[in-house]
Amino acid sequence: MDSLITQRDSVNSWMFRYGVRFGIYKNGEFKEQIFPFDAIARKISGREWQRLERGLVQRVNALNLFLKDIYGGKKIVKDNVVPEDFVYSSKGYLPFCEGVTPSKEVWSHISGIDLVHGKDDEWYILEDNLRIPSGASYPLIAREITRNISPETFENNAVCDNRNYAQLLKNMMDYVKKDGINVILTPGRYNSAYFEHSYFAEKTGAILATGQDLHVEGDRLYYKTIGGDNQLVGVVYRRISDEYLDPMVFNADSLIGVPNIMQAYKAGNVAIVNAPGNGVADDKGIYYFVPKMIKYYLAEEPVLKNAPTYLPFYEEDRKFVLENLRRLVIKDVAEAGGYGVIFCEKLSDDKFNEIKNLVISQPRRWIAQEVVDFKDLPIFDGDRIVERKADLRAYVITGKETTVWKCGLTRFSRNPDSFIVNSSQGGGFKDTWVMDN
Amino acid sequence: MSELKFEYKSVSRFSSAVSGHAFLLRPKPYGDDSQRVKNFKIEIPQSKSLFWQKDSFGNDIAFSSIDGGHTEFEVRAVGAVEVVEGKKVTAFNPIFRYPSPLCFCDDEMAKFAAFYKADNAAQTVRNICAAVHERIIYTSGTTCVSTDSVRTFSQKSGVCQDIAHVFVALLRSVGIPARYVAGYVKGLTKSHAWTEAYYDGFWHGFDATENISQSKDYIKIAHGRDAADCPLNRGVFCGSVVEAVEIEIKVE
Repeated sequence: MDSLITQRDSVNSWMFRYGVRFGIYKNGEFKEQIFPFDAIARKISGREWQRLERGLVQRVNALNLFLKDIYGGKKIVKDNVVPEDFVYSSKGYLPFCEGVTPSKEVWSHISGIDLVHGKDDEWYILEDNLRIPSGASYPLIAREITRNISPETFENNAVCDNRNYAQLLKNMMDYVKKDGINVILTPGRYNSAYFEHSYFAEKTGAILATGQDLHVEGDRLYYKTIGGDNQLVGVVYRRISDEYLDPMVFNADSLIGVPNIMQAYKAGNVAIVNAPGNGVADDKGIYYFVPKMIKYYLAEEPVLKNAPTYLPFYEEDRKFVLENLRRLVIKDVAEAGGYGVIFCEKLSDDKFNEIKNLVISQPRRWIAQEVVDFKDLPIFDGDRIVERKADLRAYVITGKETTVWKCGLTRFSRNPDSFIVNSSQGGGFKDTWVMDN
Repeated sequence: MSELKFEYKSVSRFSSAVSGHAFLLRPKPYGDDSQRVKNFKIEIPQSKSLFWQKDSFGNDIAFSSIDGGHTEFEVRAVGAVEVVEGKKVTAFNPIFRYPSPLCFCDDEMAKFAAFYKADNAAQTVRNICAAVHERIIYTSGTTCVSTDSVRTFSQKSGVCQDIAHVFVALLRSVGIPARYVAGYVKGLTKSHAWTEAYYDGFWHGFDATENISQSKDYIKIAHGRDAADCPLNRGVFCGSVVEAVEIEIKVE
């Protein structure tokens, strides 16, 4: 890895030239910044990866079955495994999707599962992202650049090739699609992940379109070419969240969606990737139930553990949480992206009591977790190597089969005291080497 | 058994031609055991086609789009409903127990609702209906289509949609499943909104705007958790124009 490390600055400057940027809204202003790359790759041994792979496939399969059940017969609710409350009060639950079966019964085509590697050597699932998990383009392009700059690094290390990601995406889209072309729907260039949208369109051969390029005629979705012809669309990999997808059904003020696309979807004439309504399954409250889902749907023991989690919704858990609050992390189930995460250990007494009262008055709103002491990874801070907290987002693609991409996004916190590694909170990333041994 | 005939007409006039006009309507009365729909007809002269689907609440949806430029958009629907007396709607969906995007309570509302709780659900519903009627003064122009129940409750004014929302939210907070209903009423020339509460094994209609229970003069068009689930019409189009909409409803 040495030659790569000595050339680490040029990797970042190449990324800058490629336009690998990350947009962020701060105080109402849009800023594009680069997502800093750290040259010391995270290595995961082949054996360790096999176990991760098994656990991730199992988890995503169970989550897909859960979504099918929730928008169908709701057996898991009737059998009292998941309380009704957590389904119907979830912001991600869309009544409009009741009874709609997506093409080939796939709900979560692209799942981004966030994990951390504990100091006890156990991997813990932090959260599931089943709506529009982003970020796969970063390690892809970083690998491309590092391979060019330092080919010998990859000659001397048996690293699994990660270039098949676009092929996995394309195969999945081809598998679920109805008659018509493949389209990636982007909100446009002011979106924080626009770089990624255009990158995947290029790599998968799909058309990159905004809402204005698409329209519904009857109950079919069409793409209007520059020449003015209408082309039937068979699958849309949309990078627009549910609430903005169709102004006729969801947020009426949305200008980035496609009017009546939900009717074309409901009529079975177009596949939408990921399926609308998935938010009900990646809710922080539902997270607690995923190990139970695995047992319920697959009759298997979960391979990968959740971080120890308590639901104040249950009286027993609430008691425990209130007694041990100082050492726990409290998360607002409605928030995402590292927002609404409270480390109680560091709170002033006033703030602490405020949180305590909130847990008592609105128990459904929170989950409480033990702080998982996860491993530090070495990163460059200027010319010295320091240790920082890092997580791993694994990408799991479900088409005909469920496949884990042999790579992932390792994000680290640049702040030595922070456990929060989300890119929207100003961290950096590393390549993730799955070793071929 | 009684029959109500209705005529619905809406005309949108655009100050200059618009195109790429997509629309979605809920123009047809809700058909169930207590209300049968007869002789329903719809005409949209500017649209060559019209497609139908049902949403997950059982409301009929009509949708289509008009590609070419046009300066007028007209919808005419006529029909009749037979109100079947003594027939009760028992079909229940637990979703109506929970807060929804426009119908939820803050602490003050929860306390308010709890205060009116009686020994039985029927009395609780009547108490809360009267209390909402008393508190929220019907005033147009103080709210918009996306105003939520908490806002209406605190400002104490709104239109029928807002009053129905507050009523729904308060009922849910005391454990009575409730839903929002949009429809037409004999004697009114605009659409109306009211509330259905579930107790004793079936749905009961109440109109908190008037502080009465639903009479046979009401035609139910659609229902949902709140108004955002079942708007009677939505449309988007391209063009920088001024739109003037006239809606006329006649029920007899």
